[in-house]
Amino acid sequence: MKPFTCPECGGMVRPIKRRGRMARHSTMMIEVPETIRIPECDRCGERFIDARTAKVIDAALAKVYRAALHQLVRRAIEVLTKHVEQKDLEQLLGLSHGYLSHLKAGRKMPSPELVAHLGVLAKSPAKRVGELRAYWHENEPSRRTRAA
Amino acid sequence: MVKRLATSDAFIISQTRAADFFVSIEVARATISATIGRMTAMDFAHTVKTQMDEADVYGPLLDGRQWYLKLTVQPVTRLIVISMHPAEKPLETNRERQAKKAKVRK
Repeated sequence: MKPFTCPECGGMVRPIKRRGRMARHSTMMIEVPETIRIPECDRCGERFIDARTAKVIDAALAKVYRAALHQLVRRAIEVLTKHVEQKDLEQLLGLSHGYLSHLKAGRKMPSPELVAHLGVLAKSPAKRVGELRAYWHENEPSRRTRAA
Repeated sequence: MVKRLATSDAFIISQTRAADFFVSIEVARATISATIGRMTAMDFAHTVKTQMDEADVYGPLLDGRQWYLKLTVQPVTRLIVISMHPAEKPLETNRERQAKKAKVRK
């Protein structure tokens, strides 16, 4: 992209490479690899993104994001399985038997939603797994009918 | 011309005032392109002076919520979307102005 005038401050916008640039990808702000050139205003620092740059950034961030989800899910499963058996945890979360093993081995890609659930449970495993067990138990349809 | 540039992907968006409000930059670009494609004169709010240029502000509705969209066209037909984020305060667009006039007439 050719340099152009920043529409906000009048500085010059030129594609540059540098460290420390953060961009949103799904649930996280991730550092954009320093090797990617992004047009940036030399006065106000705003970055301007065209179609080609968007593709390059998104592909790079998606890769970093996937790796981060895998790392987070592995860590959460490790913590949780010290307090609850893996198959019990799968049942409580409505997952297929063996699914958590696939996630740990990196054979499946966890959804951000599942990573969030596991991450929250792993913050206080004994207490939160207990609450989850109680939640499903209290809301069993037969129990609710009897209570009504 | 603005619609043509937006729908043919020939536009530039600011990162912190537009892209970062979406789950990814490509989603931001696709949403902005579709929004500009749907906009009418009724979504126009006002023109503002920037340091260098003039920019038009629109208040399109996305899922029932008003968004703040500021854009400018530079020479060599470069469309720059300076801002695209939920409106921090209500924008009075032509739609609201027309509704007000209609109310007064009644």
